[in-house]
Amino acid sequence: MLNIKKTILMLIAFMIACITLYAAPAIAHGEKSQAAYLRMRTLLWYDVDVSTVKLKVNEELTMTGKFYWFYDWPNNIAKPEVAFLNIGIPGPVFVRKASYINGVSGTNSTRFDIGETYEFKVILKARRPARVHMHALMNVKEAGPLIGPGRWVEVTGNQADFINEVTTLTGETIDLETYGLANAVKWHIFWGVIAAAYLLYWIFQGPILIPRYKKVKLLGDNADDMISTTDRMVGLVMLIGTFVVVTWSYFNAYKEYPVTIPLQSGQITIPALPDAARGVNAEVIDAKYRVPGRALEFSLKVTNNTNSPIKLGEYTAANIRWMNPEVSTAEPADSHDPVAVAGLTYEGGSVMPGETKLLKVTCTDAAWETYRLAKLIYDPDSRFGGLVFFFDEEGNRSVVAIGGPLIPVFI
Amino acid sequence: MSAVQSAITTAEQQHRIYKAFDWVVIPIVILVITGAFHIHAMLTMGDWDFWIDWKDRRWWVTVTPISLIFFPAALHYLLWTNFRLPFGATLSCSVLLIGEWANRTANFVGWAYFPLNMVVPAEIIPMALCLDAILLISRSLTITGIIGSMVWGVIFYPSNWALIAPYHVPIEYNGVMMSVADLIGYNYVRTGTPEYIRIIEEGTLRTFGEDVTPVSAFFAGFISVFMYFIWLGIGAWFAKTTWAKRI
Repeated sequence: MLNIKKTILMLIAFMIACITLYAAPAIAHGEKSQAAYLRMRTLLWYDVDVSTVKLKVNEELTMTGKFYWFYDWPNNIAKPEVAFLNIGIPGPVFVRKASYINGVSGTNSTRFDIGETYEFKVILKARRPARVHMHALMNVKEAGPLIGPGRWVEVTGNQADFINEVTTLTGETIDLETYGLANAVKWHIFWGVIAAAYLLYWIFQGPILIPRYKKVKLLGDNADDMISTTDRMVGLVMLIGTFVVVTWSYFNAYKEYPVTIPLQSGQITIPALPDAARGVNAEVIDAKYRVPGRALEFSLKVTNNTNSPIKLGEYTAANIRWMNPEVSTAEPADSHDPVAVAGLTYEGGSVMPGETKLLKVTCTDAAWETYRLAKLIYDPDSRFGGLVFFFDEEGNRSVVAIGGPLIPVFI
Repeated sequence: MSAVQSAITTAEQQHRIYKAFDWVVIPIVILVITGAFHIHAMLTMGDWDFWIDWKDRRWWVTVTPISLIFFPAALHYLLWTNFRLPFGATLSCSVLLIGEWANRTANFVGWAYFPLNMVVPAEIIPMALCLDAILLISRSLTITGIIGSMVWGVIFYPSNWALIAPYHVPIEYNGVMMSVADLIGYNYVRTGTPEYIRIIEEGTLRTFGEDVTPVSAFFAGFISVFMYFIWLGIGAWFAKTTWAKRI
């Protein structure tokens, strides 16, 4: 014969086992999933770096870099009227100790201007051991996350050693890992016990379903008589007792924490950096994407208003870098850092001071396919964008945003 | 003489059968209510209840009681009209909290590694006890709906202040004043939950200075009264026994 109690216990155990089953962690953040034209014409990140890729629990890591809000912002994407500098990691592997945008604290959400450049710094403290792919990330209200370059970072040590202490304005030093938890649990247990006692008061009155159902039907309009005076007295005591405890706990909390403030929700506006183009103008005359060769080819009309000759050293878009090693070099930081170390070539040589010149640029790499940028030609808005980096002989850099329509070449 | 005879021949046997029926039905009902109420709570008050830095004095105070009165009201109808059992609110809120604690510890802490103090659920038992007590004393769903639901909304914030007051102590952090709750939200990175996504009090020209909470609490109570009666009706619809007339 079926043992009901045993079956119920087994079902509960099965449920708990299901709940606590291991879930595999996500190791990517959808960096290739968004439409290519959106990745190339929204937020363009560059100079992103991390201070270390291996650290222990309680040690700090700093991520720095710059981002440019593309001048030809897609109409269908909300503008960054409200945005928040974030970090893309699977859960709080780190705690964010500080974040700065142009030196201003990034604790609040921020308004940014299209066509402007900002630099950022995020200081993170390692909290739990893990190997994670960490991204710079900008959340834009009504638009969504705009993900920046990622780095593999490994944290070693023991999470139990992690502490996150701060001192309040009332002079108390607290650990945010556990602060207030014992108090909250205490109240939940207290009210849980009262609730359990009340439920058991009814359940222990014997079988409660069928007999009471039959009695209700039998008594009809007089079914309220099933509630005894004692039952009602229990209700009265419970009502008054609840009011008393709630009132006491409310005023006692005010006594214990006399200085409190509401949650803070202010937003700030941060002025942009000076123009990174430094007097260099560049305009796309025409652009083609050669499908068989996986190459972007564009003609660039460049005007050099600086005092030195300049050369084209890099094109970057959608967190991918095409380098011209004759001018500027870079190596992939790790296995998931898309850098085409010799992906950029161009005809035209140096642009002299005061000169306007047409450069024929070619950016080639398998990344067009592997990072799904070649899909641009199938996007509803097949215009590309990106940043080109010019360097003078002393290594000074001019960063110029370029973009325009892109024509595919299939044969 | 009927060819079919009842297997129950004594009062003792009948008592045992009734008890077994309770043992079978009550756990199933509890599991169903836990799951259904938990899904409902996550969909309606979701982040307000998940995160300590969403528990503000305006939206959280308003949304939580209004969305949480649905199941207590429906269960009041079911349990009161059919069984004269006045514990629908306590039962539903208790099992919701069990579900929430299981979710927070297994999911938010066990899987996503958030600290537990960041995701402690709101305390809702005092509201449930008052609602049930008023039904028990008045023996009237109408009085419970009018008075009990108002009390339900009004005492939500005072019931929780003992839990959340420590998180509203101010801190100076990187040149900005924040509450402890704000700082926890900032420190513990949530990739998909940026700061601006919080729907919390921002202040308006029509706000009565700092007296936001009483207004929000009374408004929550007022709307809860309407919601209670709507969900009594939905409870009545779900509690039809036309399919089980032979019992």
